Amino acid sequence: MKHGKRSLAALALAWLLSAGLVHADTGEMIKRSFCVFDPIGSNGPLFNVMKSARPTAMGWGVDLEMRAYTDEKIAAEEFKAGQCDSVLLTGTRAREFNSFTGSIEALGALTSEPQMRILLQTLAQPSAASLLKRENYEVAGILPAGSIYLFIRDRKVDTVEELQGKKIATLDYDNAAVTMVRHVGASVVGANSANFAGKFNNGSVDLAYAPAVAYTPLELYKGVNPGGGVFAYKLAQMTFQIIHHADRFPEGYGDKVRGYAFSRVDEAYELIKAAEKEIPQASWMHPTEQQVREYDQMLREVRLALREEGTYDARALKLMRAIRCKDDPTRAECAIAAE
Amino acid sequence: MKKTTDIPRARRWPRFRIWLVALAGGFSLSGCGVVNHMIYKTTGDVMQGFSKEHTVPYLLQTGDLAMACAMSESVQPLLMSFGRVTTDPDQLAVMMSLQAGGCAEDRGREAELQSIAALRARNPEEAEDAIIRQKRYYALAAERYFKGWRHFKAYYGDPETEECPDFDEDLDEFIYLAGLLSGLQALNAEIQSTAPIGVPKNVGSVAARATSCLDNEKWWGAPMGLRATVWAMIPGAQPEGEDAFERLDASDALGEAAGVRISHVFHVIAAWNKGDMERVRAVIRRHAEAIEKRPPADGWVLVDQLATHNILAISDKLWMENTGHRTPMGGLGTFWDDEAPTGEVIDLDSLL
Repeated sequence: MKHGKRSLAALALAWLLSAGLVHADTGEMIKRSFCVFDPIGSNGPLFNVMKSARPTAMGWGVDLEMRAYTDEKIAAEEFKAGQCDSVLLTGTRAREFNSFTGSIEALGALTSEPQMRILLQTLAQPSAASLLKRENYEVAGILPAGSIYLFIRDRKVDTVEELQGKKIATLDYDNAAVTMVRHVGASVVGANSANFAGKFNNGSVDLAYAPAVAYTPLELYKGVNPGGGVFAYKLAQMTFQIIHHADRFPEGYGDKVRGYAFSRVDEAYELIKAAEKEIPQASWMHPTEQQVREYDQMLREVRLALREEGTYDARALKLMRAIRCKDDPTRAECAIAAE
Repeated sequence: MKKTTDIPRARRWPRFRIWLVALAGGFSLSGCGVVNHMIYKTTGDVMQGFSKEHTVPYLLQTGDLAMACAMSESVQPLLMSFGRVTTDPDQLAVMMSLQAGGCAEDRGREAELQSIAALRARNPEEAEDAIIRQKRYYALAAERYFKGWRHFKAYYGDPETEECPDFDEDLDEFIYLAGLLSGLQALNAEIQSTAPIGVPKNVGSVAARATSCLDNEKWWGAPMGLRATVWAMIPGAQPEGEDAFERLDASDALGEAAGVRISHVFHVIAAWNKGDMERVRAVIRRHAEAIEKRPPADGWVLVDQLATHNILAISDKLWMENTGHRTPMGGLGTFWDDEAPTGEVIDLDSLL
């Protein structure tokens, strides 16, 4: 009987405590804004995928108020000005908030899906947290957007030498891209995500670079056909990154979002693979092995130059070199430790 | 009488048997063909012809969307099965798939309203479940719309590679418009579902260009409404010197004058996508006023009802997000934060 009373009391205490916890949970729900760059807008695919995460975030005590931005620059500026508590940007735009994750898109640094997966898995470890935080900015998730390829209007342009004097639609806020275009002797034609496809399709530029997911929606085949092609050399790995003002979110929230983003990587790769398949076999232009080695070498030189001037983070380049060498230890660069 | 009975039974049977064997043989050799070609094919042709000549126009004149939806879902397999014995009923398939896609989309929207309500109530599990249901319905809608788009291409040809078709009658033009709408809706539903259904991602741009095969004025501004919506949504799609929203305003005026206000739907989608909620509200108000002022055009009641249905769905979403319930009865065109109407009053102080 005594024992029964005691367990009843314990049960009541447990109930009270759990009720208290539930109360605390709902009481601590905070409302935070999440500004999402989607080139289409609130009907676009990125915004829709991000919107689906609202219940999950709510389970962690954050009620996200979603806003779509078709202009990435404005999304980044509003985030910086504190008008957005968190933001989704491309890796290149994210560079100003975290040069480490902003260097993931470094030219030629990662050349395949398996390499990208090693990187994402590595950064999903709790020990990576310090690399993902700079001042109050915390990278709370990275999603792959696929390899960046060169789209060419004239397939006779298939060597670096022939790029000289050619006009390339270039994201002018991306110092790395501007450096690269100048390095090969081509001329920079300033562009953004809303107008680069138009410039390529109407012939005001000779080349453009983009991930395969842009090919069909932006109708890049109009510029590629009939005489052009898609150069099957992976210039870089594009990403989307979620960044937030760390002090505006509960402790441990960043870890949870990173885990959630990581769980969606397979889904992202399915979309990327489907998009790459939409590029017809006949449009792909395959470089020779010799060319690939030369381009690898050239991109490495540009990367190192950009590291020296502070565009790329040295630790990120070092990590990505380690990943390349883990993926393929026979690479020539694995014998020297230049990065 | 005597003659037949005179024939001995044993002699009558073999003659009958020969005839029976011949008949059975005939059937076994060509009977299925006769049934297929004479009866089934004829029935198929009659059903297809009847559906196009009478069912579709009848349906377009009715205003009961729920019934049209139920009919499309239930009758489509029957009508499509006639494609096994005669030509594929591609035109009917465009109409039926568009309607059936709409049924699935409606269920998706219901689930979305539930998810919004659950998020308002801060019930993440219920919201998550509703979002999953919403996505499933949108995936089904995308498949149905995409089927409509494929039948559209099978009948009219690929609009990217072929010239505009020669239309025999108005209904052929209308079904062409329905096909373009199916394509655009397929893409939109696929995006909402976040599932890879396989809808080509350029279908919006292709459908937008193909609207130039239709007379914008004749079709209540809907062709330009569709084109301008794509301009407003796809980066770089808007031609230089054009303004999508100016075009949408002009399309609205055509639709209002004709009594088929489908352009409002395009307009409100484009505005929502840009996050321009003031414009969203203005178009909803404009639609509510327009349907008040003028009844739907004869012969196109269903299309106009469909427009109102879609406008109401968007209004419901806004109401649900802001109040926790959908648009009140008779409240289309009003919003929760509208100022209370003011008018003349009598001072009650003298009575008290």
